Amino acid sequence: MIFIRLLLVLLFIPAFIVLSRSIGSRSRAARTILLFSLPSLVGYSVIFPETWQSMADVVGVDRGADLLLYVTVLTLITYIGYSFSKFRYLEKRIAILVQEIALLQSKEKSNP
Amino acid sequence: MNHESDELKALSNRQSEIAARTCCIVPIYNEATVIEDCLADLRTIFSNILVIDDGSTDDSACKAKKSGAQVIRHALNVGQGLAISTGFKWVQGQNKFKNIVTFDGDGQHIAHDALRLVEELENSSLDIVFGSRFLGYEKSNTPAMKRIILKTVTKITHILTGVKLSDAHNGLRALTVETSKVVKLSQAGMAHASQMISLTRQANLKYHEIPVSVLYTSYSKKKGQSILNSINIVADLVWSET
Repeated sequence: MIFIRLLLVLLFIPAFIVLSRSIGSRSRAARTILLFSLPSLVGYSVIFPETWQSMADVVGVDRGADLLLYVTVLTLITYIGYSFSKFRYLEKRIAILVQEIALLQSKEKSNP
Repeated sequence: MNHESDELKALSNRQSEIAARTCCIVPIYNEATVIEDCLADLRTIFSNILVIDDGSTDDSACKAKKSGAQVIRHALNVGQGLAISTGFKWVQGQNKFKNIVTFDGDGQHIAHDALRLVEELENSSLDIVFGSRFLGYEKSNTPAMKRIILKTVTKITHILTGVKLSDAHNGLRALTVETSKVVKLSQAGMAHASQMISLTRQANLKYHEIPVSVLYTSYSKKKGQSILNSINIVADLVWSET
């Protein structure tokens, strides 16, 4: 039991860093799969609730609901991290744009 | 920019020459209350003053212009780091200055300290000189809580950059124009001060730290960095370092 928890935590950290910080096309695709697979998994688990329990038994988690919770938390935190990275990336681009405009305007004023 | 005050004439020839080849970069954001006094003090020594208005919503830029400074305006408020970076790029494009001084626009700094920094820069052939409010200069009246926060940020900056200074976030600095080409700031916000120290280490620049006054008035205490913002500065640094 403790091993699977440790494994989940160890998997969670690199997955979070890679998925949340990278804004490349591959990690974007991974995030899309993660985001869209979550409602599908939830829908599936409503119809076949025993599936999560079976999966939980395989990976050594007590209850299927716990496993679903881990997957949900991983998805949500990854998205929060990604949104933060994307926000910072856009902020940097806006900053460069603001600077370029300011310098251009100053140049135009000195050479009308 | 070419106005010469009577005080300017009172400087020694050597000091006047140093001041003439120096451009003061003053980043401002909504400093209409104090900008005229701040620039009047600077103009007692320096004739080349560049104000970067970082998207102010008051008439700071107008007042700065009336005070005789060259003004560049950011269309949006992006942060002091970017304002200084814009100043660096403008000065580099002028090809007529040797030194740069960064000087906060909230009236906390003294023009004479800025001159001392540039003198130290030239006399000791350094790349960059940092001002410090913690080196025993009697005029600084740093509030106790601010002192604790600044010391903590300085310690964290030391851990992250490996450069040991007594005051990591003092807006008063002097550097050569050549150094400004190396110190390429990407931190738009207040974390630029720590980034500047980090880049000093990376580029193996010759630096020194000298005591300066930082005057805390009721205005600057109200306007200055909040204690909570120090958390943002550390987060910006850690996020960019990882």
